Amino acid sequence: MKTFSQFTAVFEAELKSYLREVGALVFVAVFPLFFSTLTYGMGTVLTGEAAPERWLYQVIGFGVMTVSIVLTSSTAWYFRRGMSSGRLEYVMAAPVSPVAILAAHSLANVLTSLLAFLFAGFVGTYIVYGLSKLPGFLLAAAVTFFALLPVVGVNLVVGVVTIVAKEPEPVANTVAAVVAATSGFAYPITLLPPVLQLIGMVLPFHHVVETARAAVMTSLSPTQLPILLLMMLYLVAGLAVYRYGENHYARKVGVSW
Amino acid sequence: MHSVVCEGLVKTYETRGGFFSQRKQVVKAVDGVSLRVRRGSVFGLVGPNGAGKTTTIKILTTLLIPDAGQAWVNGFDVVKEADRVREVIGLVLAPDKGFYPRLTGFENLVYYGRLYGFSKGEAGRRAAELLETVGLGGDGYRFYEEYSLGMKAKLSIAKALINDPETVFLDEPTIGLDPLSAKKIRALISDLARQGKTVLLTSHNMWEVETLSEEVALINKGKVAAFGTPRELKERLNLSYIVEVEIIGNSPLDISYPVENGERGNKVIKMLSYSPSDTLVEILDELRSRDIRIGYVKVHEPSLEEVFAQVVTG
Repeated sequence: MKTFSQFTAVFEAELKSYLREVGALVFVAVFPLFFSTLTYGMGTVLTGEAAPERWLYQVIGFGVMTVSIVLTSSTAWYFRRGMSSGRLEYVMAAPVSPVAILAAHSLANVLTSLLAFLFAGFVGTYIVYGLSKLPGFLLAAAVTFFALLPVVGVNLVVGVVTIVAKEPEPVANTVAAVVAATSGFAYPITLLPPVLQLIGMVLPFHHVVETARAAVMTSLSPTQLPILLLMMLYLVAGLAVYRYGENHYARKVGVSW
Repeated sequence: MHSVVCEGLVKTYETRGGFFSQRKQVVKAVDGVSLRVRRGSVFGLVGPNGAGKTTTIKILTTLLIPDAGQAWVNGFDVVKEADRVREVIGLVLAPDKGFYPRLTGFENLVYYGRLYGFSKGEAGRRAAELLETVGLGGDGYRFYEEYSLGMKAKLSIAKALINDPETVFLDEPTIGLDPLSAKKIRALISDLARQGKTVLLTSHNMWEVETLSEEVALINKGKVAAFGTPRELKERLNLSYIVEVEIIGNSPLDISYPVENGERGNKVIKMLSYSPSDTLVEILDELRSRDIRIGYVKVHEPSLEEVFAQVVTG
């Protein structure tokens, strides 16, 4: 009961904060639509072929990319803001479960990001397929929600690195660059050199975007489920790394800025 | 009997020149600190910047794990029973930090109340009560980012009390505040002690510490340099009092004490003394024996600031 109260407290506080910072939310919602239009336009000029499905491919790709990167950097920023605002010290001095706190923070992030993804994806799907594929898109959104959970694990590792390095921008931006290039958000990862393909396959982001695309544009394959379940190991590993980082680093050197 | 006990606390920090630099610097922030804080008292922890006050508080509030030594708060070991300690303490680390800027003061307090396990309704009731207590009753529904520094400090105190803690740690709670806001915070701290809570206070304002604290520890370079009641510290350091007696009218000045011109046009005897009551009796006896009329009598006690200066500068 106590853990649930803590969980909902953080979830509500984070959600209220996000929803009161409308600018960031609008950016996350609008960016995938317009950026995909830009890349689609460039591709069409180069190939001379116009195919609306390719635009939707990009919309979903950039939608998931934006959500994933926002999620990853937001965890880094949660620690950064928590350290500079002193909130993290107060949380660590309270009898709370760090897992509940981080899970609630991540869930609030996932939900608000998903809200933005819903908007972009909904508009894109409607423009390309009309109303017929909208149920498929809603399924994609639901699947994306669960598929994003392994990303939370990656976020926790990024968060711990943020505490150690005390530099959220370089950490989050480096991760974002690797993720953006190797996850197949804008192009199939088979186009990449084998090493980069391997990175894309090992990280969870490629599987999230492929699952979302399949749900809207083709159909979900049963083979995708075991992969997504396997990716949940990131969540377990992330929690383990966070716990280690908290006990062996945060409480050894402190988290004040 | 004692709310806070620590024995031989040691905490060392390692700093590097840069991420790839091999140059390391080891700083011993706390070097064998031992303290005992009586239950229900206000205890002052003073010392120059970098003396180890905040590190000691962070160890006692479970934020840092000490390299050596042990500490107990309300009987719970700060390392082995950290969660129990967290349940019974309140903490202010900086009076203008620790809150969500886009949540109201009330929402921020409810947030912290729920972190301590209260239901939403219960946390709301406590938050409303505490906002009244600290004088923010009418401002609880404003965003934290709109608060003045004084209001933020009051909200920090309210946050520290949200779980009705037995022991409250206040690290420089009046820093940067205007005199009126600081006075209000001091009144709140006195109220806490009257309610039977133990308060461990750090401040650079020596007058504040002296006024509020029953006992004081002076930390310098990570070690406890002096410990006791403010009066004991002054006596131990043998700091002199100033005994001042005003002489009224055109009295003869061939007395055996030095005389200065006073503010009201009268002459004033000023004597440095380690034993002010004896000195005062001697002066008054002489003046009476010569039928000299006496105006006022004052005894200036050495301040904690003088104790601080003497201990720190040696």
